[in-house]
Amino acid sequence: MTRVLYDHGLPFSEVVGLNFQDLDTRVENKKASLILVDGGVGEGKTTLLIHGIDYFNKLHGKPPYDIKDGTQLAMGGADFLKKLEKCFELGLPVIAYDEAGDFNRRGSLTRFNAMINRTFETFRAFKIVVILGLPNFAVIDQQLFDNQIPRLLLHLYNRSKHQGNFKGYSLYGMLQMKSAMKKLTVKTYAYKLITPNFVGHFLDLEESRSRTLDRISIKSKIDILRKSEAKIEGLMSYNELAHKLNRSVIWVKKSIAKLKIKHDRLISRAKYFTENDFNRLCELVEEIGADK
Amino acid sequence: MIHLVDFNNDTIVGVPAQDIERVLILQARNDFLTAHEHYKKEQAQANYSDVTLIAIRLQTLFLELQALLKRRLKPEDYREMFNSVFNKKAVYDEILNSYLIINELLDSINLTKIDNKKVYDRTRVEIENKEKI
Repeated sequence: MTRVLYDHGLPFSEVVGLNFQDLDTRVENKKASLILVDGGVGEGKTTLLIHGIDYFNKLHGKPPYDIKDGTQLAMGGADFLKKLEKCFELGLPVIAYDEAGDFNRRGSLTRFNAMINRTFETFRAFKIVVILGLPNFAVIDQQLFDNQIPRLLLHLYNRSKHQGNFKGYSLYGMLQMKSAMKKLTVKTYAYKLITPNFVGHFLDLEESRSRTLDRISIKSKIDILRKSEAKIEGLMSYNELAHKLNRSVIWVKKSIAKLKIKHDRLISRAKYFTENDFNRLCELVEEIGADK
Repeated sequence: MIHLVDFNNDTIVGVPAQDIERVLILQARNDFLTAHEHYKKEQAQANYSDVTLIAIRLQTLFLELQALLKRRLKPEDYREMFNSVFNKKAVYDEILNSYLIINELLDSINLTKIDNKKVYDRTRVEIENKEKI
């Protein structure tokens, strides 16, 4: 049987638990606490995010994270604010934000940084710890660092079959690395230049939870692929149609119903329409214009 | 400002007198410690040894720091130290006592103090964040 807990009863090195406790105290004092988890593909970012959620939940006497429910793990920017509000309503102490699907779009980083900044400026009173998983922490705006929002970085590396490894850095360490990265051709070499505050390991999730997570994660990633595919094929959502026609989304929906146009594809409850459908809507716009 | 020749590129560089004075004080202190070590070694080997050298080196250190000592010590303490350092019949215990006072003074003015960095648990990142940022 695969080991899921160390002898001290935690799925990660004890030092992480102590640091999480410090950050929890900080949040109790109404100060923003952002934990960053970064690393390459397959290093175990989502696994560690879930371990983090479980730990904070336990600290506050809440049950472990329900992967199927997914309230505390936002995948993508659009999901985040909605779930943050929900976590606040439910009195949950932590929310994790997985980068899935957010960093592969042009302009998403700017939106993401603006959102994180705004979130911490506005929602500090929520008293919720945010754990953020992303490929490289340096993509985060300097402004966030100047506001001293990120407090701890866990850099994941060299994951083996049985456990993952991480290096922990303070805000001071992150700033040093960010500065070093500017001068380096191989950015990740900066992790070797700056001495970490601590190093440690973490174990995998229980098999059943791991399977559920894989299923959900794969589904979400497939959705992202299908959306990208729809975009490449030139398919358009309600929002995009409305934007192109310079009409409201409600008008587009009503017109589509009126013209009895059927959507070409349905991806995670979002309807996509073809170029022909768009042309039919254009004609309708022209007709209305002529009538007037 | 004291002007010194920089032999690497034949230019004259200015060094604050304060910096040179600091080095001279440390040098005098080191000379005293060397003499003290020699005295103790000779004593341990049961060779004939007297306190003349350490007494003289202490006098040098005292003279180097005279103005500072006069300013920092109470007048009666200064007078007492002066008498003890320049006593013709120098006694080891008195020499050591005077040296300890001077040494602590050098520490208090941060000349020999080296443990001035706060020691904290680096593994707790919040402590480091508070200390350094």
